[in-house]
Amino acid sequence: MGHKTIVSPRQLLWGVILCLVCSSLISPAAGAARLPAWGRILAAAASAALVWLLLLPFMAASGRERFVAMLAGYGRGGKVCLVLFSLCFALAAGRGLERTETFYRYVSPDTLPLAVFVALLLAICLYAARCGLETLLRAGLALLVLTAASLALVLAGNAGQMRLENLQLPRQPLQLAWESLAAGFSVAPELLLLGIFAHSAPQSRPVSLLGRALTAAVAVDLVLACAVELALGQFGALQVQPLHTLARIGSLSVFRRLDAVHVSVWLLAAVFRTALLCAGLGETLRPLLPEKFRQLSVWLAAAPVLAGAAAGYFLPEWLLTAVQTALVLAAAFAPVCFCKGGKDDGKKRAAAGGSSGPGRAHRLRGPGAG
Amino acid sequence: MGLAVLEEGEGEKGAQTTDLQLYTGSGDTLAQALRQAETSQTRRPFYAQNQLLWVGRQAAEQQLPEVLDYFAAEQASRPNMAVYVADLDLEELEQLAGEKGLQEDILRLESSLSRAGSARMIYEVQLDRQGAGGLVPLLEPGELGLTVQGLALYRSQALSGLLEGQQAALAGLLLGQKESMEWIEETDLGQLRLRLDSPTIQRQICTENGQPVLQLVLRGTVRDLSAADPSLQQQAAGWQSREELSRQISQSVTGQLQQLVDQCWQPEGDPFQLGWWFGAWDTRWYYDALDSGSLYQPGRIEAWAEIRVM
Repeated sequence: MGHKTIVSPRQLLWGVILCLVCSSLISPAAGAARLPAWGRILAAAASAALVWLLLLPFMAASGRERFVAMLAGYGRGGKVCLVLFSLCFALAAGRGLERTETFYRYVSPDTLPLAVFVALLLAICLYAARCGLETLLRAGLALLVLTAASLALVLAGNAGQMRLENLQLPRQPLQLAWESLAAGFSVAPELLLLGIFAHSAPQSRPVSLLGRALTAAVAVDLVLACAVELALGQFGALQVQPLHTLARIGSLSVFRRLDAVHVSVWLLAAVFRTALLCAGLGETLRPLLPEKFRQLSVWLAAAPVLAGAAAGYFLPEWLLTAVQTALVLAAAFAPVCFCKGGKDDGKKRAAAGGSSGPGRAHRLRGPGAG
Repeated sequence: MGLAVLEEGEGEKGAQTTDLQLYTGSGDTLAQALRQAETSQTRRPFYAQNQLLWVGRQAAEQQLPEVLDYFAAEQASRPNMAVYVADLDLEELEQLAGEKGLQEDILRLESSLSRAGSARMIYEVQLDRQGAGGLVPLLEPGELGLTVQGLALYRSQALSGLLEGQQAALAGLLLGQKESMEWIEETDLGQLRLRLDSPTIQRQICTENGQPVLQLVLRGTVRDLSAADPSLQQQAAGWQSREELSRQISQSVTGQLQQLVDQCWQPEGDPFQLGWWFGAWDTRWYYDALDSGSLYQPGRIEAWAEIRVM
């Protein structure tokens, strides 16, 4: 595959952070909102630490020559890894479509028919992915600024309603946090993008990027959780979209009903997230396709994304989360295992006096060869 | 159930007029009654612009939590719709609507929403929490139309009392919703109208004999006082009189504040969420006291006022 795209590590980081923050904005809170902010702080910190540990080997291996060759479909286990990545991103992008449409239907009194909305959204996301990673991430940076401004306005608009007495005081916060962690643990698939696109971002340190992305996402989630509880108290725990409720009740001076502006920005962020996942899917799908179809890999990603969306609509949430998490972890550990296996094989061959001829070295060197 | 719709139109010589149309409905459930009211007129209601929710006398006594839950969950409306208990039934409301004064009351209440301390929003009245109490402004018809006469006090999801006058104003301060407080005080100098500016309420836990006590201290300044008699006004401006006035007013407000706290500090309802401060001080002690019933014993909260007349 041709990797001519060069992006800065910072662009990649901001793009992934926006994807993670987007989940806090549009995903229905329901069960999570019933958890007191104090419990969410503990659960979020523990969850982030666990995710960091689980993805550490993947991030450490990414960007290396053997890993990049595997992404191109070469080397032992290359195609297996690509299939896992593709499944993971297809499901994530499909669920992104479903969540965006669900959020849109929730906030808008007049909605488009489901099929029209999903088709339109998918077309936009695939086109954005087709424009290239650099273009997408540059747009993502602007969206991140808009999203940050939107959240700042929501917080400022509700500052007057915040009361300390609305914070819930759980009897056993540690037990509450542990139960929440056990019930709701998941790994965001967009974190894999830090490793997959590491070779497109020279001098990036995926391990460091992972830590910073997780820290930023957890910080934003906690600030929002605290703001919801401070302003709404237990009323917030009954809300399907508590942040949207905050946006509806907030006001700044004479400016009221700014929720339409906030919702527009959040929907754009959701489109960006889905587009970035489609870009990831296109990247991992390309080496699996016959040569003549590789240029159309992004457009051909429509079918698996639609399948993921169908799964999002018809399967229960807990099953989808479990399958998604399993796929992400499998996709993260598979390259590490195959890379390690390949290294051991090389050592054995070296010990046995076997030669790595030019053909084999050429295959490992570059994705464009052969 | 009634839907009061304000329609703007043009009157004589192009003057803008506001007409009130009242559409009513009834049913076994709130949703049925609302649907019947909606279908009795030709337009589709846009609840996002609805700012006021009046709960009539009967519903306020028996069904307020259900009504609030319905409108709080209603996606189309906004949680910052102001809630009032109206001492009216549907016939009286229809009569008021027919007398053409009701739209002015509605417009006046809507314009007052932007001022602090004028209303309670749906999300602020949390009656369904165990042990929660609620305060809802009470509208009563009078010579000046429908006006807020006090705060209806709810305990265990039922109407249990009424706070009026200075007690209602102090309740507004405790709820953090008022920026000032006006009242009439009888002093040695006579009857004075006072306005308390920049009020702050400090809450802190201290221990007495090993038991936690919550201290509520209301502080503020009175810069604006007026008396009907100009000689009294002049006398009140003297330094010694100001010191004495400060002492008397502080004493009077302390009594009112302690009475209010004692009235509202009950197991069935804690509208000011004063119990939270004990939980923040020591969560384990708080839950043990809550379970054993010793949390709401007398003397657990001490309140006093420190008011300076400038």
